[in-house]
Amino acid sequence: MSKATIRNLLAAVLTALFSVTLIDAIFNISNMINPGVSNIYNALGTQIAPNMVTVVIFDFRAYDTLGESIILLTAGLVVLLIFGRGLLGDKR
Amino acid sequence: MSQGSVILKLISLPISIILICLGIMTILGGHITPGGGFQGGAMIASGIILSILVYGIGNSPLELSHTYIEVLESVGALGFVIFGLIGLFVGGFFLYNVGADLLNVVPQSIQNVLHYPDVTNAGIIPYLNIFVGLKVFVGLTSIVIAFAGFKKLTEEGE
Amino acid sequence: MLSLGPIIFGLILGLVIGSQIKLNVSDTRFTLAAFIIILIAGIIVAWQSGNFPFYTDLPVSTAFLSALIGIFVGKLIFARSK
Repeated sequence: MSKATIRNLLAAVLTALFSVTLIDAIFNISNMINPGVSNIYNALGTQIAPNMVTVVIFDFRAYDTLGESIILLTAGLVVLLIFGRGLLGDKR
Repeated sequence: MSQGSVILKLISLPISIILICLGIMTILGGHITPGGGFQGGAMIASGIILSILVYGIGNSPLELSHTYIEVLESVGALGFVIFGLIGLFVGGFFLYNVGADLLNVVPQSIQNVLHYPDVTNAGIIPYLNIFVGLKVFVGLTSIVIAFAGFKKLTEEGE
Repeated sequence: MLSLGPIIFGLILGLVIGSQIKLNVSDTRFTLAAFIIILIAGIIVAWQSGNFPFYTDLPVSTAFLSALIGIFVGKLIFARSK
């Protein structure tokens, strides 16, 4: 990574931050965001369990957690498939 | 590939046992404190990986056989799906929380059967934590066992 | 009143994981005294961590102690020597 690349990257990030702050100060875009289901989660969450993170992961979005555990299975499978290829084969 | 001095071999088994017990404690407190299934499963895996690294893959005290890894991974995935099917048949939606139902469609007898005996009323969340913890623990440990076995095989082949 | 959930499931999980401990006599020998010292160290850790997820029955962490007892019972019942 040369010095010119680092300088360009830093300039891009700082320009983006400055422009977002400026537009928020002029046009007040913080009030145009739609809350959506966040009101339902905040109202009903704490009467199920005290930990809001676990309620969102395992109750409201439990289907995505099922996909996450399939990702873990696939990762282990691909590692054993690439590096293995019949070298280890004992069933104890 | 064992790191074989006597001091390491003497202290690693008690520390591994305490790490496994701390991991089980983190899984079982998942619906109240930060933690839960994924984090507790990684802690249990780190306890077993410490024992494999210190002793070597041949004579480690905590060693998982092939059948054990297959059975535990299947139990973890199938348990999650079976709890989802219970929610489908009783509540009308896949992975519906049968313990704390928000639509009031579940009869009280089924709620009393699946109740985790606790002061909270969290439904199926503790059971899902346990199944995901088992699956993460077995997945991470099997990768480390495979790499240790490959290294030993290439060291013996030369 | 005692909360039974961590005790029951701590015993079950400890039994599942404790069934894979195998001690071989050709390496460092772990005798019965070593396991008693592990039990005492476990009781000290459970006392220092307090009532873990804010339960109000005992000042120790019951999930930790039942997991420890489950590992020992699993080793005694399902033990295979190499």
